Amino acid sequence: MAPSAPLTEKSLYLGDYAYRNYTTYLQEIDRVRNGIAENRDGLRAITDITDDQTQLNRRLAREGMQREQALERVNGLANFQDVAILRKILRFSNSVCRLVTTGPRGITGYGTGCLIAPNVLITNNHVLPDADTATRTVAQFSYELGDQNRFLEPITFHLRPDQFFLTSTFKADPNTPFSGLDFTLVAVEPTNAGGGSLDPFGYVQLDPKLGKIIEGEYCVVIQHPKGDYKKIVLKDIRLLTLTDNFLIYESDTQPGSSGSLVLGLGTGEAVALHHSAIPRKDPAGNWLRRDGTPLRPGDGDDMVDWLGNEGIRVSCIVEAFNKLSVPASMQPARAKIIEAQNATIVIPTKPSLHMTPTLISPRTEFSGPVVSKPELSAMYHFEVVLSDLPTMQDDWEDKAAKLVPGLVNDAPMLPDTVVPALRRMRYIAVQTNRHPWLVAADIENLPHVETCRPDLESYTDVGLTDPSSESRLTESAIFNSGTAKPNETEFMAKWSAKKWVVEAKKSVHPDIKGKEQRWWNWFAINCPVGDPLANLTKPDRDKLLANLPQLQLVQMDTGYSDHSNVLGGYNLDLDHDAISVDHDARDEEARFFFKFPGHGTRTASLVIGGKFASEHHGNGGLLVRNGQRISPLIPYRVSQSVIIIGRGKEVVEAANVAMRGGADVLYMCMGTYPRPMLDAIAREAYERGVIWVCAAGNEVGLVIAPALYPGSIAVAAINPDDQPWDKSSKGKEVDISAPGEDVYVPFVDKDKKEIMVYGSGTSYATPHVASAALLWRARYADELKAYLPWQIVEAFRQALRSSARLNANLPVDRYGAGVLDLTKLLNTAPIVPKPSEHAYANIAPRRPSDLGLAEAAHFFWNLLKRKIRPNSVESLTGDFPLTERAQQAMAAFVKPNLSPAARAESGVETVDSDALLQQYFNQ
Amino acid sequence: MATSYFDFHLHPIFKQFITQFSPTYPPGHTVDELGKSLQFGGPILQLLDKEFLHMLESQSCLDQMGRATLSLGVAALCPVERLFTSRDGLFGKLLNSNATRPLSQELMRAVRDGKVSYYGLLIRELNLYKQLRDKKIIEILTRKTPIDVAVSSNKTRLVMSLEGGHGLCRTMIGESGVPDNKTEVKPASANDAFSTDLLNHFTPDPAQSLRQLQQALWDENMDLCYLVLTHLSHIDEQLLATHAYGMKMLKNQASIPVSTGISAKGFDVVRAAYTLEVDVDGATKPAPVIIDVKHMSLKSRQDLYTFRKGSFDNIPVICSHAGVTGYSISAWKEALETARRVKLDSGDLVIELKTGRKTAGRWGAINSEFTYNAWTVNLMDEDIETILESNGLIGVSLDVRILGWHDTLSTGETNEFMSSGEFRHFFPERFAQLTSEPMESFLVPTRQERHPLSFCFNLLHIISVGLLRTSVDLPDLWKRICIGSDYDGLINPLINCRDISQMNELEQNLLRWLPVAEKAYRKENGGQPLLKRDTAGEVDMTNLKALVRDVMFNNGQQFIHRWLGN
Repeated sequence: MAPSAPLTEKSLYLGDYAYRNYTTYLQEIDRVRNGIAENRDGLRAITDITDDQTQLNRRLAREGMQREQALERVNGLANFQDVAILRKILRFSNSVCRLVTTGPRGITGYGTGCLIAPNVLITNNHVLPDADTATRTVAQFSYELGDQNRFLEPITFHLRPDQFFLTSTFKADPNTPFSGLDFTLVAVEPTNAGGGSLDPFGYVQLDPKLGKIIEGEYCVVIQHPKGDYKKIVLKDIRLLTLTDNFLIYESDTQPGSSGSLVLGLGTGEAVALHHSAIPRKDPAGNWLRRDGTPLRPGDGDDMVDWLGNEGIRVSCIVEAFNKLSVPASMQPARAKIIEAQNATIVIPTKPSLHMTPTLISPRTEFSGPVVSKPELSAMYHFEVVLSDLPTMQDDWEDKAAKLVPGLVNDAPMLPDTVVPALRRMRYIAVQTNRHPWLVAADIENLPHVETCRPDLESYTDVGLTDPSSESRLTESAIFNSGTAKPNETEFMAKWSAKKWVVEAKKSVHPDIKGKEQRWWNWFAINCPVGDPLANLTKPDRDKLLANLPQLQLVQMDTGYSDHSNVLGGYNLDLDHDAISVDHDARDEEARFFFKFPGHGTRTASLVIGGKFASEHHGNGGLLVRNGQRISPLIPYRVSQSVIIIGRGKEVVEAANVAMRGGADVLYMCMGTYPRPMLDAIAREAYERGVIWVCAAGNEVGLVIAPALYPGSIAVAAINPDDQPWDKSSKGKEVDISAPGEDVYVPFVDKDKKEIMVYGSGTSYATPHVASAALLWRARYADELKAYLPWQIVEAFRQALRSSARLNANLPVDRYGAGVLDLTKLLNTAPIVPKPSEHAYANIAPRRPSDLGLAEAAHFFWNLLKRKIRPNSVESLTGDFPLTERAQQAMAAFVKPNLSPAARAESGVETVDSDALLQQYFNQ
Repeated sequence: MATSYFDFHLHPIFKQFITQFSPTYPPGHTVDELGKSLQFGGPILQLLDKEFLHMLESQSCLDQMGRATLSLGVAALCPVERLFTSRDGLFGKLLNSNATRPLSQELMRAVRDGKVSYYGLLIRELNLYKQLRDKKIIEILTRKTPIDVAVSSNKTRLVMSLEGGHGLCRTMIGESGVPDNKTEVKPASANDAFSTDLLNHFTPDPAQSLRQLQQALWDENMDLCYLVLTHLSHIDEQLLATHAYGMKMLKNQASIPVSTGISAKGFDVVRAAYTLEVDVDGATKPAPVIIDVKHMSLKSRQDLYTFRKGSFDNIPVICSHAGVTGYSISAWKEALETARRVKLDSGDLVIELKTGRKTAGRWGAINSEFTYNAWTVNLMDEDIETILESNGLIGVSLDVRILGWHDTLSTGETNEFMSSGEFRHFFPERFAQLTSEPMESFLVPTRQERHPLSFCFNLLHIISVGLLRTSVDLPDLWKRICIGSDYDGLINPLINCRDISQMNELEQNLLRWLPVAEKAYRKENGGQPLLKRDTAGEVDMTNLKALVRDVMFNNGQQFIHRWLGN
């Protein structure tokens, strides 16, 4: 047995700190302990111990199988353990080393370290607090007993803090970001003085994703307790609680164990960095001995009654690593750590398509991606359309887990759809280490499946716009500056003599005196300033106002904010966040690369914008009458920032939740490329009688999804000169146009001061039509009771189009029927549409594109952003080397813009991405 | 003369009805087979839990009603919801397999695949009642030609009601845009007011649908007494109100409430129900329909009470087959133990909550505690107060789960689901978790004792609330309760009264256990006597017998008498 070790100042501090954490979570720990006791008695499953269902779901997902099987597997761990996990743990143990620190008078301390990259190890800050200590420390690998208890020869390496050293102090300092996490990362020499290589010891990958362990599951700690031979704790090792930063577990450790990685036995993944044991204390705060008496001076650690242990969560360490800066000289080592931790997919050294700003590719490289055999797998989601044969659908329900390796979850895309054809759609999660498009191809090859597409991150049309253009203050230009500045001078220079500014200037309405130009859009849509209902007869107005409280208008965007212009205009009892999966749709400004707050605020302002106490006051919401809001807006957050839609399913779910919750009108001011699930949810909205008003798109030419689907109402944009906004998407899919270029909307300036500026986008045209839709529904609510749900949408479309102001400036059949005329619309009664006028009556179901073309379209759609930002470093997590099938699809779109001789000389070809996307969009 | 019984809510031909599906109208059942008792499921089901089996037994077929001398009752029409055709979970799989024969899989497919509307199902079942009446097997009461219910008859008298507003929906099940107006009437001579209404007067408006239904009923010499606005599932194609969670055996998300309160369409239906008029020989006659708050979510019930206040106070509120939580709303909120957010496949966020159960009383040496079922499908004290003060009637369910009984080894119906909107309404600030109840001990009292005691505790709580919260005096309070068995509605009935033919046994049990329960209830909850005492301070048995007789028959008869007179 190792000798008793003295309690140092550090260990006393850490013990006290860990005890505070312990007592904070005591109730939770007691609950888990009770659960563990019941589990030992066979009364409770391990998976029933935790009350964190999210954590449980993540944990189950890691099993890579259907939930019920995963539950069985996790719960079976108490008695049975796959040998594969032990092999994994043994492999990990190779990377664990003893740290020996020396001073002028010999050894001053021991610790445990673990390689997390080919030549970087991790330990505690209280083991290696600084570079100087690291210089005096060596890492000894294989310091352990071999067969027949023979001592193996350890292999010793010096540490190289000069190459890389990153630490987070064990004491938290509120002024120092990421302090208190008690970790140190330090480089190790790759070859020791004796020529020994570090390579054979491998390294452990730190997976920052959650779900590696749940409360009540077993932990494993591989360690050098008190500098002793490498040990592993296998008994009494349950996890007691997980908090945001640390976890508490039962496992036995001793001084010298500091710096050990804690592994989850169920997954074999590193879950924490051990850093302190937790002492039992009496009410006076004295540490207690095992005999219950207070600790006395001179007592060693073996006298202490330890309650448990505390470790820093791996996810926190990875986050700190990602955000802490290091000197330029250490960047190479940092890059190697990143590379080691992301070794799932190896990017081919010779990219098959060499992407440049002009999409030029090496000519003869359509040889398919080089994908490594990764050790780690990841979760991908897929939208699947099953065969229309009931037998195949039934068989899928019974056998999906067998048919799709790694299937974790299989659920209906729209469980309560009112469109029978959509019941064939499934949404599945698959744990795989394979390329998601290849997995999709395999699934699509099943006889049960008609189509399968991975649900990967994609940019919105707004995110694809050109930030380098300064000539026009578009929505995107505002975004890319992160802030905006007042631009009325520029606006007036450009538009003061143009139609709608001139018309606005004729107004004598006292509320807009001197700032009439800010309301030009109201004049363009024939909406009386101050009171959108002013041109209705009193009985009609009263009827509209009586019905309005029963109707719901939902905005699907980046969420709400407290900008004064919109403050108080929301219904925050019904809001929904499809990203964070909660009930608070507050716009959380995207961090890191994406500084694009407030899109939802701007698109809300044109509906509910109110008084704004500033010199910039002007414009307002169309649902504001004489300064009073007449209907609240329900915000739904569907996108973290305006430029990225995480998963398409989040949009689908948000729309579905809104519809099931009683929404009458939805509007969405961003979009993406077409996908079957977006097609489905647009149809669902239509059949449920929900008017879904969608922006046609910005600067991409094509009408985007969901605006392009027959079930939605697509809106293009015009400008103050009554001309089409040239950056507006347009096409036969567009129903109507509305003011979108240089509309006065709220923002913040560089000092975060609230201002209003002129900005552009079909995003701004859309709220005009959405507001009009709600008012029209309220005006004709009684008549519409006799309509089938789809007839309500279709009757609105017809009223919208028939009441539209004809505008000769708009190209025929590209900007819809004309410009929104609110007054005329509200006086246009619905006419019952015939069955033949059903939006889907005379069109064949949209044929899904070939998988290769879909992948290529996904690739080019997301690439558009990088095309115009060649120096950008951001990437989408869903990016992969193109599959051969996608490259073959691309090859069909090679531009014949170079002569064969020139191609041969340059060795490059240009793919006509516009043509490819047009083909994919079917436009 | 045989003793008469009354039942405020039962489904006399439901189980026979679901043995066949006819794509044409009228359905193909013969009148003879409609009266027969049925048992669903063969040898496979025998292996399953007994409680499960009881749901599939006939409990109130006409033969059983005859044996029970059930002279008066309210027959609830309840079209099979699409929820029941989901194959999720064991119960769903069994219902949709041959294991539950003679349940018609053709019917289940028709519902699942949208080959018929709920309204189409409703009128098929209605037609069967009409046939039974025309064959003089039953009498159907109507305000069109009211009779004196005090004059006895040798036939069971039934009043019609509709359980679930989904029955008003005339588009194909699961499809919002396809009218159900193509059904063939075969033979053509069978065309009647119901089929004419279905085929010629399609409407997507549920309020209008109700008006037309009531007119068709009158044209066929029938009448609708009450309407249960919701049932066990969220009906996407026609949402009238949020329902209360009540079907944990089907693992389909449609059973989970997701909206908040009564919808605009729902208010239209309530308004239409309260103001209904029918055309009789060219003259209009009021024929309002009572709203039954059973199955409505707590917020929906509150919405209803607010809506009727001032405008429709004259129309009573009822609950046809109730249990009680034992709580006022504020006490129920205090009893919240845990709540967590759950995301459904649809993306909806709902709250799974667990509420501590109110102790009703204690009886017996061990495992002596009796509790109420705290699920919000059961009545809160405020509900009881509203119903009693409206001069309404509460039918107490014979479903032991609703009454609060639970297995000795389980904690009973613990976790329920509530929509996020309603949870937000009642708990604007999250409640801290409370400690969970200790595990139940293992042993007796027996089910034979516990089931009737649970029933008694529900009765007593209604009376107690009435005494505390209303101005109605004790004798009158006992006149506002009756039996609302929900037989044949997939319930797990009291062991002492597995079907309606055992009503007399239930009556005997009430006589035996009410005094015991009253003592235990008062010991736990305090308050004045709920049963009249004699001079020696003992429960007055003469009064008790009369009171139980009232509950078993007279109160219901009086209510129907009043209804017929309005």
